[in-house]
Amino acid sequence: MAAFVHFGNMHDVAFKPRLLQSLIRDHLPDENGPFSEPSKLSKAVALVKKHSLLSESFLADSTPPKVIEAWKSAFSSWLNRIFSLLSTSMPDKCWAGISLLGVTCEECSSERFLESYSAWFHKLLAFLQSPADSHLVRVAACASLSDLLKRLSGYPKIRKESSSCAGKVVQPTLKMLTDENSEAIWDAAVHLLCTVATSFPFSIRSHYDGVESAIALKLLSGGCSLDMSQKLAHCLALLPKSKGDNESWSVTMQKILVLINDQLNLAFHGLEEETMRDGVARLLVSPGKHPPPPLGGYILAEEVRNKASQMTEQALMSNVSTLMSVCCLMLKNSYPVKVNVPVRLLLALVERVLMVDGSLPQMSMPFVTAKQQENICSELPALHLSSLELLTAIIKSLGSQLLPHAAYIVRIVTKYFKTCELPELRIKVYSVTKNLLITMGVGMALYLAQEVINNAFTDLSSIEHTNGDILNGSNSNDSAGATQPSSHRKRKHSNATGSLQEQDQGGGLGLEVPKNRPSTPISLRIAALETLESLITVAGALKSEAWRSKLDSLLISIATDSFKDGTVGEELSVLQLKEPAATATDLQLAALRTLLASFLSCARGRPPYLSEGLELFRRGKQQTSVTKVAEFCALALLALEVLIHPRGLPLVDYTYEDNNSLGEVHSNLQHEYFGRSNSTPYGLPQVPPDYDENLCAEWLENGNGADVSRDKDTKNNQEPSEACRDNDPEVLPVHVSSDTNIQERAQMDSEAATSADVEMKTVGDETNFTMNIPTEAHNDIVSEKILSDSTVPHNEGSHMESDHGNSVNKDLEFASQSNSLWQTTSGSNIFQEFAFKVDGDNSLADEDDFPDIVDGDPDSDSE
Amino acid sequence: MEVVLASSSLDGGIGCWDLHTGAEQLRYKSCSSPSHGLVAVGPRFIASSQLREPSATSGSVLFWSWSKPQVEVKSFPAEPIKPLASNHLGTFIAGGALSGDIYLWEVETGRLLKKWRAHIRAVTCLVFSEDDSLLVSGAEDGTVRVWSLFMIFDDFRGQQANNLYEYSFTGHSLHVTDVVIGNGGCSAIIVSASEDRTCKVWSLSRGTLLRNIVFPSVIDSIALDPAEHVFYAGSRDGKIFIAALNTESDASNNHGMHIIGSFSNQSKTVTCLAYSTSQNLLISGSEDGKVRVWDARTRRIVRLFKHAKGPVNNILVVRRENSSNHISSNVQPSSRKQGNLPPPLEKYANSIHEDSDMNTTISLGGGRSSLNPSYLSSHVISNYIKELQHQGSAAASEMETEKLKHDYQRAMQMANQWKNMYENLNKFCVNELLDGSQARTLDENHN
Repeated sequence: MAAFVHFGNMHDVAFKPRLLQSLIRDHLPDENGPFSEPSKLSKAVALVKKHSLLSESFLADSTPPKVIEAWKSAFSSWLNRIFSLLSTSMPDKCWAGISLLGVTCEECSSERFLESYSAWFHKLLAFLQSPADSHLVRVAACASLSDLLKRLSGYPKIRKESSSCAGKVVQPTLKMLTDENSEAIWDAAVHLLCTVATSFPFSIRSHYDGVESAIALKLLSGGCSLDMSQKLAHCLALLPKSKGDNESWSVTMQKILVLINDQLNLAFHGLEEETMRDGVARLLVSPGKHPPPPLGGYILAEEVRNKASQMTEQALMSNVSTLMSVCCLMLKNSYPVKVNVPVRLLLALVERVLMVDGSLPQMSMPFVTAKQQENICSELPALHLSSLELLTAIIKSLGSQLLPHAAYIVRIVTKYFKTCELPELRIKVYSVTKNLLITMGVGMALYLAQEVINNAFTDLSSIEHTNGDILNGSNSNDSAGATQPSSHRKRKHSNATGSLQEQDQGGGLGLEVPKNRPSTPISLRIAALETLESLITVAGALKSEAWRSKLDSLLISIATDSFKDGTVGEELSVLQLKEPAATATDLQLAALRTLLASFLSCARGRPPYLSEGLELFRRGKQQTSVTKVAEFCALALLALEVLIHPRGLPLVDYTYEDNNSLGEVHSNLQHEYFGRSNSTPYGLPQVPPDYDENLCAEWLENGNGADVSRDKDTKNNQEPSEACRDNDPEVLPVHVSSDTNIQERAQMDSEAATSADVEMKTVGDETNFTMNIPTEAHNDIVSEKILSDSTVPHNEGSHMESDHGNSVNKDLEFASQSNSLWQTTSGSNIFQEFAFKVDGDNSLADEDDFPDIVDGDPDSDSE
Repeated sequence: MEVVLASSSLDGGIGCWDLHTGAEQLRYKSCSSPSHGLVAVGPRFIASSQLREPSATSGSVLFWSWSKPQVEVKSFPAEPIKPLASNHLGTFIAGGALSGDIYLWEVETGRLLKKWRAHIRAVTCLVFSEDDSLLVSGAEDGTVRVWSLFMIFDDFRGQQANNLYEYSFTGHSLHVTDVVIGNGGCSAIIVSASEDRTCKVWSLSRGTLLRNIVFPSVIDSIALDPAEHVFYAGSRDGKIFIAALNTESDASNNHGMHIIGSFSNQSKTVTCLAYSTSQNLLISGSEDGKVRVWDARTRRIVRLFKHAKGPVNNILVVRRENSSNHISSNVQPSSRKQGNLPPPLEKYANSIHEDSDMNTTISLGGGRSSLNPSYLSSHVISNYIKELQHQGSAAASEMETEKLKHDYQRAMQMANQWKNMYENLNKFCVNELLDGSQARTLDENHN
């Protein structure tokens, strides 16, 4: 009859009831027939979700009432089918019905849900309570109830009714958790409990102790799968929320910490120093206070203690891991009120675990068997991992309030870094370090820099040996190792480049890479690079002289290498079924990111490997097959473009009207030029001359290969003037502006005369503000400048003189104004400190006039 | 809502105005603060140090919650505190004392965490760096010092190092009047003003003087342009100078080197400056008790707030989430929770509370990382069906068939064995019977 009643398209509302009807007809099991093809059911669920067939959502005015009616009836027949399935005695059909009801709770419209949730709830609750049903049915009932409660939590208006519903669920769930012996059921029950605890925390309150002891029993008796114990941990961490006050959070935390400590005492018996154990114990129970009742009540605790004495070290330690993850979750989850975190105690526990490496002290040799030691060592990495996880959680949750404990953490991390060898653990330590750097900022970076550099060099050195000459060169004149007291490092392979001191003592004999040393896994190298990246980001320019140049050369060599063998890893990953954790592409990306960070953070003028780096980024951008790298390289080029053509864009226009008379072209050019010559703010001092030179060369695209050689020439010649520059920022504008102008002139000779004119004006302006100085001195500088610079054309001298004449005129003008006296004095003062010999009389006389300024002596600024 | 707070050295309370509408908000009572002695502690409350008479041997620090005009918490530190600073989250308060010591308190518990000898003479200004890990202090002895808070807390390294500070800038010859620190993490700049009529720009990364700017008059306050192209300097002759940092400066004007321009409010000393980034407004406080709001572009006065008769010496621009009026009327419970001010700041580093030394009070879940439970039913369906299919898969059934075949063969063998045994037995019995009957017939025949 309706065979040819077509609908519009797949978005047409009329299509939905039709599809729903046919799904009910063809895909859902029937109460009479056999339940032959369960896979059809999942197809049906997928279709219902994809087309939101149960949502009954339509535009009220534009939808024909016939369609609305059809959908309504389709929905009721869907419900009817579910109810008829629920009433059968066959467990598999019953299961199907319960699960479909859960899906309905998730998918149906709000009106429907609010109208009938209580009926559905009671139907589902009945299945939860009847112990006769099969496991399958009860798992499904738990899942569907959890869905229903989750949906209910979205309607705060019926809070009262919904919490009473949630309250009814807890008791039967607990019973299931304690009575049943199947992990599938535990899993579903714990999920349901978690839903209740997050959505309706207060309805658990009356069963608080019961829930706690049930979960604690499961956790501590062992025998759960790893997945299961994670879920139990999650549920335990949610528990304090049901009371929602500071006290219960602290008590739970303390209970867990006491338990961790007890289990550690058993597991680490004879493996650690007594002082460590006593220290933790002292922190755990403060004098004059009663310890809290044990986790899960006294009876359980007794049971656990009896059991624990028979448990293997492995079981004890995996318990500790789980309990530590409870602590992590408690720190990570949100909590309604402020809580008291026992930071010192947590850190002490972390330290206690991390300091145990499985070695036996001499005195306890007779008491520990080799088998016991083996057991402990097999589980130690997992335990270390979870305590590092805990450390991360502490750092993240405390944020800036970590400050009083920061030094302690740094000591733990640095101590552990030296002993830690397993790649997985090292990656974790790197991530802890990265977190510390990002959370705590510059101050932390000052602390950690040397440690990070040493370790990262060790881990990255396997690549480095191919071009070890770079490193040898930079190592020989490096004294960074002096601040690092650890020349006796335990790590076997640290002698490569890790400890700079050793390198120095060896007199630069070259890198010895032990033959049997396993190559560093890619993921570890990535972690090292990422940590370097965050170090550079946070404090790339602050007190970094000791390691900066070495680091720059390492980074460029790693980035270059990553382009050589980049493609091999790709093919492998395609062949492998499961994608490996880290590919060569990831390494390349990490290397490029770190390189970019090092370029951008260079506060002292031009980054040493800028041109090589730009070339790499250009090559990477062309690798369109590797999208991630190409994307990043495009971004990097964009970011570096500002470094090549620096510009300052003020928020507010500061120039005065009289400035604008110079004409737009001029001011533009001047602006640009000015900006270029101080890429770092106020940065004339920071700009070494060759920087400008190269920039100009690139800017005018004249220096094809000639500028490279010139670079080298000038580098040697300009050492002294650079030194002066560092000393005295006041004078610098003279230097740089004249210097650049000279260069500019050299380039410009072949250019059109008009642009040269514009340049001339710039010269006038630039020199203006610093020309208020005695004539002799100025001449000295200029002439010396010109002498030292062999590439400067000869006509410069005369040119400069004409400039100079100009400025002298201006000087005279100034002298007539009252203010200019100030400048003259300050200028000459500074000149006196300058390396050039100027007659002292002049400035002394000035000093008498303005004694204030004598103290404002820029040379003695830092100590 | 962005509000302007202003306080004075004479008791005029703390004035509070909405920067956008110009409407006056609550006036917080009884405050006479020294310069740099007013601070908004995170989003939580306002704190101000008090110094009634300059020669007093004791001072106090007062807290006001945003919603109440009365002083709520009074603390009495061991010695008079002039400048106050708080980190951006409002978890620590630092105070500079007349003796040159710096005090660092934890806000939540009021504990005095550290106190150290920072300067020879009174500390005049304190400011936290952008990432809260460094503290910059200026003092009457003319020095500006940069402290890494980590170093302060690390007793071990502190003893090893010669100096606690990271840098000590000794350029100024007279009192340092104001210090600001810019953005840029470790490459930030520090600008300091002093009574020696100079402002100096220091580089944090290199620890050197970058620029020395000489002004015609003493500069009492500095405000950085958010993009740090210029900074504004309020001078004692009533002018606000614009000094170049990262922009072109022209010496042909009559102000002096690096000074781009100036504008004046035709009044007395400009005592404090603040910059509102949202609208590019510069706010200045002056000795005549008025607060002027300037448009930074046109340099014209946009608004004028009248604070008190005495000189305004502190101005803050604070961004508030809610208007204080709304809090008090609508969201009563939450405002009470928020209004719970922390305990007063402790006088001495207290060694009695060893317990609290180990604990830190924090609010958890700032990152909203709490897991939402997910819908489960459809997963249960697909999991179970996968399990079923797995059991019914070809490989599994083949294995099953093989196993059944094997069992069948063994059963067949067993059956054959039994059959054989049975047959043997049967044969034996039959033979026996036959033999017996034969014998009997023989017997019968015999008989």
